Amino acid sequence: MEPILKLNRAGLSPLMRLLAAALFVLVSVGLLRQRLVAIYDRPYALPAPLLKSPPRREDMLLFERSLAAGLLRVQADGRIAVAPADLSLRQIYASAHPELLTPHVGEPDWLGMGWNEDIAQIHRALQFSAAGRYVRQQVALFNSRQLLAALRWRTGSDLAGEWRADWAGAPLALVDTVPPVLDRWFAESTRDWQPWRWVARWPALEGEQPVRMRLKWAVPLAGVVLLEVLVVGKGVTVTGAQVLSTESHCLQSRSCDGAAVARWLRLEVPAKATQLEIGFLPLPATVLSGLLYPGFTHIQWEDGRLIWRTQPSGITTVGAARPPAPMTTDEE
Amino acid sequence: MSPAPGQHGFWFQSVPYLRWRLVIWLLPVLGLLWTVSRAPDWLEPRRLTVEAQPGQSLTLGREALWAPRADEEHILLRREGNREWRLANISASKQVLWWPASGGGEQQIRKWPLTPGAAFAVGNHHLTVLVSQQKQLSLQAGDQRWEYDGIRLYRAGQPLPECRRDWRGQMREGLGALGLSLFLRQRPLRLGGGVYCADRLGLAGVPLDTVAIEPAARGFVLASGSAGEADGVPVTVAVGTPDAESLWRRSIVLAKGDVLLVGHTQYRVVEVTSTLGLAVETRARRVLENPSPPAAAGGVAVQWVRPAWLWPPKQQSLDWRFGLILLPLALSLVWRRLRPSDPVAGIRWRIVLALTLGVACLILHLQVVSVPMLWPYLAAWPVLLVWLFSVSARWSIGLLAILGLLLGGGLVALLQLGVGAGEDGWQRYGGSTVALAGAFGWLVWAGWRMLGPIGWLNERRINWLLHLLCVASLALLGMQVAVGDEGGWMGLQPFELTQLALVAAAARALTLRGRSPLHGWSRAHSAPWLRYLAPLALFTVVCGFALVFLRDFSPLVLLGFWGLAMLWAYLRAHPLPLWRWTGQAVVVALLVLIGSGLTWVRDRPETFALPFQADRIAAWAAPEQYPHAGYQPRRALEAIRAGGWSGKVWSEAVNGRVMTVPVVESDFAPTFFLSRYGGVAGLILAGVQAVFVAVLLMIANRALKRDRPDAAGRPALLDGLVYFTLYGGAALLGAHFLVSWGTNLGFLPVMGQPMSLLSAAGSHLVLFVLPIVALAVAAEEKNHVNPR
Repeated sequence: MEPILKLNRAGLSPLMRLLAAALFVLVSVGLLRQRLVAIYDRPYALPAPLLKSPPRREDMLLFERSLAAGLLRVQADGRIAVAPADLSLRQIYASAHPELLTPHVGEPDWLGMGWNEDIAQIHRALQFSAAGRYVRQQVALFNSRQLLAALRWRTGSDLAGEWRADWAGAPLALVDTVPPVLDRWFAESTRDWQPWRWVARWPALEGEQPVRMRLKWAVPLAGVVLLEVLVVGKGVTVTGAQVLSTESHCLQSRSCDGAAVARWLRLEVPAKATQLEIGFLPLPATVLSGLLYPGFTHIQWEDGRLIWRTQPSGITTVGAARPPAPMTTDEE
Repeated sequence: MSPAPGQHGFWFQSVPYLRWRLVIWLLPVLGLLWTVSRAPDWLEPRRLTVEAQPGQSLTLGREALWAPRADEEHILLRREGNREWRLANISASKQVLWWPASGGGEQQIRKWPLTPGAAFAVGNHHLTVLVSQQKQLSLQAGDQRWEYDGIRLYRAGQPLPECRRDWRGQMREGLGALGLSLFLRQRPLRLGGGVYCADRLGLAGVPLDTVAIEPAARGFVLASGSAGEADGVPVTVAVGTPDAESLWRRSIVLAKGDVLLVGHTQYRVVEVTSTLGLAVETRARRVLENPSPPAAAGGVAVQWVRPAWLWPPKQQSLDWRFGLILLPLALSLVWRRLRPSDPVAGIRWRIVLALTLGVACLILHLQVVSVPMLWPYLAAWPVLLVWLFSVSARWSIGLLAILGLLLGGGLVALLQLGVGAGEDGWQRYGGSTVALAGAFGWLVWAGWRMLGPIGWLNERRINWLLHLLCVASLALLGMQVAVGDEGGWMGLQPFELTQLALVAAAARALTLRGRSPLHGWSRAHSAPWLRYLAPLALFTVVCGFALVFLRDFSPLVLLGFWGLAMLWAYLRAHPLPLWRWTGQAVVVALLVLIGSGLTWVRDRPETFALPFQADRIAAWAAPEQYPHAGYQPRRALEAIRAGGWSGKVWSEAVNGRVMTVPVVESDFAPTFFLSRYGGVAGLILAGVQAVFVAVLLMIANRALKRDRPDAAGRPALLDGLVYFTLYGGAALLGAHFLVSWGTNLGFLPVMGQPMSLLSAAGSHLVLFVLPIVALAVAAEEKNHVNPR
């Protein structure tokens, strides 16, 4: 066929072009209006099929899949361990360069679990996606309630001081509000004591380490001072004062030895002392039934296994370092 | 009908559409004035004064510092002696950035210089520094000896392999093996994690990136890593000496002239004497004047000022860069000497004024944070009036009028964003956008007047211009890959220029094909098929860049739309009716198929079997199940719903909750518009956008109809080029509008594109939209001057 040189200039007449443009504008605006109407009139009730089986949210799914894959593990003290961020690299090096792996002492064996592409994908989602960040936030909140360490004190003389606590070198935040079950237990006997010092948040350190609580005062004491200290913990050691008497308290009865939850100490601090240190091991929170509210986080124990509840029934902010609200405005 | 020199007075009475041009220009001005008049009575903190006794410490946070993104207790200020103030960051996980007045760029507060013989402890691991010089660090941990030269870690003298075996890692290994480590940039050594490799020193029980060892000017420093937290793994520096302290509690000495960033708020230290004076620079919390704000809070006295509208605040001198405005004025004096007989000498002063205003707009863009709010608008908006009165073709006037309406509406919305925000600093988006648009307008106007009529654009010059455009865009893209990141390079998005180059290159290829006497892939010398490869290669580069570097799929959606539009543009002008009709039918069928495919995927998201972006599709189809992945669109829909059909700006001048939508100034600017101005205003905006696209298409069509053969019987290059470029540009603009509305209203699973002429996307405006508009205006003006 004979090639034609020019671009064909056949087209619509001016009137048709104007009509086509007007149609284009009307169609665009009309479609947009339809979408806006749908947005403004959104029904607030969920449709019936959804009510019967509520859809499984992405964070619940991710939590369950991580548990099943072994990326979240329950440890002996009740806390959940999260797989480290560089686990995929460690798995690669386990087969390629096993001499370049750090010796793992004091942390769970993450390389012993099976590893395939599915688990790698779940791990990536857990570490780097928005839902994964929220799941890890909830795990941290859950872990913060799994250990229990508190102290309350009273002294006859007007000795003022501030308690500072640390755990294997990491400083601990102390708050003066405790869960009501603890408060109720000793409310009568410690009514006019100094406020509670309760460890609100636990750093993610491995192993069983003692908590060290120190009381310091600026001026050395003029004379001997008597102190009474109630410690919620086990394996109590005192440095800087003499222990006059010890009483153990259990949940069931007034005094016991084996399963003691709290110790009532009477101490004598010598003259010219400037500090007092009390070391003890934290307790697993399961010793105090009713301590763990069912609603402070999505993760709960049920029938011996961990589940994720969509609606925490009540959110307490007692000592919680981060409120468990989904995605605060600072996230972006 | 440009005004003849020497005539004053009555020329404007003979200008057609005079009233319409003025009215269109005045409408956004009225909108700006209304926004300014309804602005809430804000007070901003200008200066904070901290008083303390020697030896006393103060804990300051969000309340006392008026920093909305800071923690409740963020910094610890301690007055050491008479004039020494120390600052420590006590926030658990948030940074405090510090730019010391003595130079050195951005520094961390939590850092500790490594000196030989010193020791530090990370968790249970104890490390001793043996050697610390420039590019040579030696550490002892237990019985292991480690060396680091800023690039690679060595264990007992043996180099360790790269951590990741991707292309970057292999390139580094290759360069290192060849001994070309000069070309490799120094990188920090990350401590923690479970492996030993080239830039990681694994420590058992310590999470990766808890601390990092960074190369510094003279040696190395130990600094807090991205995963380091004050209540996490303890890090102690100077172990075994009386100076032992936690790294998280390190403090610095403040000096006059230091710049601090706490949360997102920036401060400058102006006084370090018995009191510490901090000048608040930007992003601090604003307070309404009524009830009057406190003069002091938490030990910090506050000096309040009103936001600067027209006059700069006292005690602030203008930046030295404003002196560059005098440059064009100086050039004008030289010009008269050089070319006294220049025909444009009569309007020389107008060109110089335009150049001066263009340079002023550029400087205002660079200094937008520190100038009064209305200066960019005053300097830039008159350029539209100048343009409206400089062009004479009806279609140019119409196109510029619609551009003025759209751009003006966008600027009014961005001004409202700055005026109604509860934080200082949001006005820089509107100011920066209008300043860039003004700079483009003034400089192009000055260039047009200097170069004379457009007839000088012949075919050879067009080819050279296109080649220059392609090379420049690829060079900028290369700079972004090498030294920039996903956010751009030097504040620019080179990707927009590459899009323009792609549109122009494809237009040229299609024009050449359209005028080629040969069809098909012949190897004859005059076959232009080799020239089709240039746009194809550019296309591949663009797609590859978007996928690999930006990791963003939304440009591919835009380019798919553009490809369909180019196909349509070529086929509808095809001389053979069979091609024309079947081709157009195929394009229409493809569009219908895509639309129905989207609807089908939305109803059945589980059928989308492809692994990539599957979670994005699922989050779009069922947002209730994805509260985290679908967070941004959900917040946007809530804000839109709160606005309703009529919007809230008429009754509430403060922006309120819509400011918490992420990226509300660029990707989610339509959400802001709908939430504040209402659904009806949104529909009007969409209508004007559709008219804009339609006018561009009609100008393109007019260029095609003017196509006449040249002396050799071939069609002219310029008109065909204009047709395809404007068609491509209009299609991309329409795609931008579609994708942006789709992101904000939730009917498309694509995210990440700003809306042209509404969002604060300066690069997109200046490197893509305005050049397309300029081309359309130029084509119409040329036709008006030499009608054919």
